Amino acid sequence: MSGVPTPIYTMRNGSKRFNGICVVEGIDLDVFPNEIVGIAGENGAGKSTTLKMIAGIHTPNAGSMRLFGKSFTPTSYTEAVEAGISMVFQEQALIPSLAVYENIFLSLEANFANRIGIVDRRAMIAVSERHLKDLGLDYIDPCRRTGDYAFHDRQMIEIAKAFVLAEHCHIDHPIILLDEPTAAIGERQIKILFESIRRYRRRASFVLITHRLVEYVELCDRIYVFKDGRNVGEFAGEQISEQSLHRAMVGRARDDEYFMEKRQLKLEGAPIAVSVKGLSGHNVQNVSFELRKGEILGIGGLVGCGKEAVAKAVVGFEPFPPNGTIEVGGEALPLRGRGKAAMLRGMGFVPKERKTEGIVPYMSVQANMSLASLPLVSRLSGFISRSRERLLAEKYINRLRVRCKGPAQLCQFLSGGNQQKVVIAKWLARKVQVMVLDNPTRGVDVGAKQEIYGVLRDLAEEGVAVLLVTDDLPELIGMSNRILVMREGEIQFLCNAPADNKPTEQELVQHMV
Amino acid sequence: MLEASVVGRRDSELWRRAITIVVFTIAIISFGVAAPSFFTIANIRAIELSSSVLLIASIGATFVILMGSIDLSIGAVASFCGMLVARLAPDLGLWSVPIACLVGLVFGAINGLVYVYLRIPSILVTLGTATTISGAVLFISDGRSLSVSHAAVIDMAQGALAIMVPNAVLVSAGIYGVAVLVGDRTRFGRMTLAIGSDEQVAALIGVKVNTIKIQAFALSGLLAGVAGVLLAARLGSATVTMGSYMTLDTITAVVVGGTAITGGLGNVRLTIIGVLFITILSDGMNILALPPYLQTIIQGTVILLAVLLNTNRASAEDVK
Repeated sequence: MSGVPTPIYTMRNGSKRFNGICVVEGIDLDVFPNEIVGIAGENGAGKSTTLKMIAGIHTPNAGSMRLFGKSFTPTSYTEAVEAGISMVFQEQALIPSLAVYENIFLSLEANFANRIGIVDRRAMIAVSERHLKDLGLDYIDPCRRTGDYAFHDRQMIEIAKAFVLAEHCHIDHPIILLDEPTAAIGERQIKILFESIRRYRRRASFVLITHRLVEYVELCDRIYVFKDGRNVGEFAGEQISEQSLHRAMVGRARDDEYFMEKRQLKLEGAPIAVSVKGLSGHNVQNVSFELRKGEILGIGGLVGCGKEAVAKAVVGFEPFPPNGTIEVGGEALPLRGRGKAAMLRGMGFVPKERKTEGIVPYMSVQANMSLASLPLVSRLSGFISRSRERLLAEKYINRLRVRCKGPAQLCQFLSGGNQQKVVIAKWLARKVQVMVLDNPTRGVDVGAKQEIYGVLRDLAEEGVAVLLVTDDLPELIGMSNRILVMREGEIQFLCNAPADNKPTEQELVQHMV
Repeated sequence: MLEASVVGRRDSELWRRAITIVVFTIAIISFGVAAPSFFTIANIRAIELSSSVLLIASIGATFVILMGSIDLSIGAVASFCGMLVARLAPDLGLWSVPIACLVGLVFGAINGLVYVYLRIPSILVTLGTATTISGAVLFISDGRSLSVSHAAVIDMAQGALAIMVPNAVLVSAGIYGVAVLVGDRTRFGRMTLAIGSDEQVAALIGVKVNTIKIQAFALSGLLAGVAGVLLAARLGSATVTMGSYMTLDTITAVVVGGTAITGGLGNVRLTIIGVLFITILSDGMNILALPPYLQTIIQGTVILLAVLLNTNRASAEDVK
């Protein structure tokens, strides 16, 4: 690391609460000149929140920040920009229908206006051109429509914009925040982006969040590791490796009562319910496995490892990887109309996006629960019988302990955990043989989580085969009979996880990275 | 517990619904006090007749809007089918009625097919077909009005099988009753709401989303056709633009009834409130002999207020 040993930015004891829930607490963070700093941690560890505190988007509830030797208390993103901090947003902040230079100077046009308010376009274009050239982006024409450029080029335009804004506000050395810049671009563009960042560090400092640990190792001088909203480690130089980072990120005590591990079944010789052979396609390569009746098979791996694609292929949720066969009850699912075929063979799917894929918010609990099994609650006339529908709903409200005012309450007003129970009930009402769940406890409170685990144990005891795709390591280990670990689309590791001999998080993690 | 509709009514909205009904009642009473002829049999009959026609068209519009789509061709389809009945009645007699309605269904199905398979937003598809169909009306009528010369056809709207109740009212009441059942208690009704909320929910339980969409548009076309035929029968003649008021009035009726223009919230049951609201307001102002220009101004303002009262603005994430 070069430069003066005093940080240009410091955060001390930064804390942020939302609705009384502590998201980050007691964060200390420094940024030195010309430095690339990483913030690593699992989903929900508080990385993005911290970045947004630095950028003035969230105001900390406690703690202090200093920038360039002065106290720094931005109340908006604009203030942060004027002080020398810009953020490259994950969902881009450029307007596609405007020219590149118009985007660069968006909201700053007044500085180029003459006395009667006419904006000097030529000057704006000239300044844009100079900056793009300085940054080695000569190929970007400031007069073209921004939307004509590919995603990664627009990212570079955002970085260029950060430099233009810094110069405009008389900042010599801006701090540029990057929120998952590689989430939507391919390997080649990632390389170009990283080369650019290394080049630009002579003129700026960077703070980076990414979901791929290897990128931290490649790019960062120093890394802060967050866990559950707290700072749990700081690595620099030689200490940085994927293993060291991941070991610091995970490692929580697991409570076997919580996951009801004593109820886990022993399954020697249980019949096969689902058999996946040679599944391949976008993001997935040659994945094969078998799922037995009464078994809970967990699939783990980092975000983007392809585990969601496997779930989608099994239930036919488009788009899914098309090659290979999925056999249910000894018969392969068709490629066309797979979703419907999967459902008819007794499969249920609890999708990741509960609010958009799982429930209809402005429909009652009872209408949501019967949605997938309307013939069961209909009369001979074809019309739905309200009394049968209510009976069905009451049965599952009791069984899953859904907390609601009654079957007629709208799903909109239920908590996340209870909404998830409604989604599960929707499939139980169909008497499923195979249940596929994608992160079923995401955004669910602790109590409801355990109730959902109880439901999964019940299902297994009834002989239902359960495929559990999850980002939550303790859940993966605690719930599963067997665990598949995926990495870059392939199965990396398969292990048994009997109740008395569960693998540790570290054992699994070493196969994930 | 309150007896709430199973599909799509919000607990916290009940009080708002109550306000609407109170305001509504006050308006009716004040019309009656201000103009003694408001509560005459002739006037009530007039209100019944014009709300019947609008109600039928609005029912079709409700299913489309519940899905988050829109049908701007309702007025043109109604005009066309009304004109077709007038044109065919001398030769085919009562047979002209089912034929005209079927043509409406075909127009609606075309809207749905183009929307689904060419992936064009429904607002643009129906804007296009509306213009085309309006042209076709001129074509089959030479741009002139035609009188409906068949007594049985006229009788369909104006006659009275039951004492005091015009047939048009019976027809619309029947359609309304079936539509409420279909909306609340069939797969089609449930799925239109689910699609309006998010298509994935429906797709993930194996529903062919495209089929439901085409069905909803076909239904909207069919009911626009029925409304056009009834309108021609009621007036005793067909003019080239007689249905065009329906395009916007159906949307207004649906939204005043509390169905969200973004889809996924509401139901067909409530649409009748919006229909009666529009009809009674314009009838009352007519009877009070307000100047027509002023009537239009008041109508627009009152509709805005009604929408303000009846829609849940907080739930619309992006108001566009």
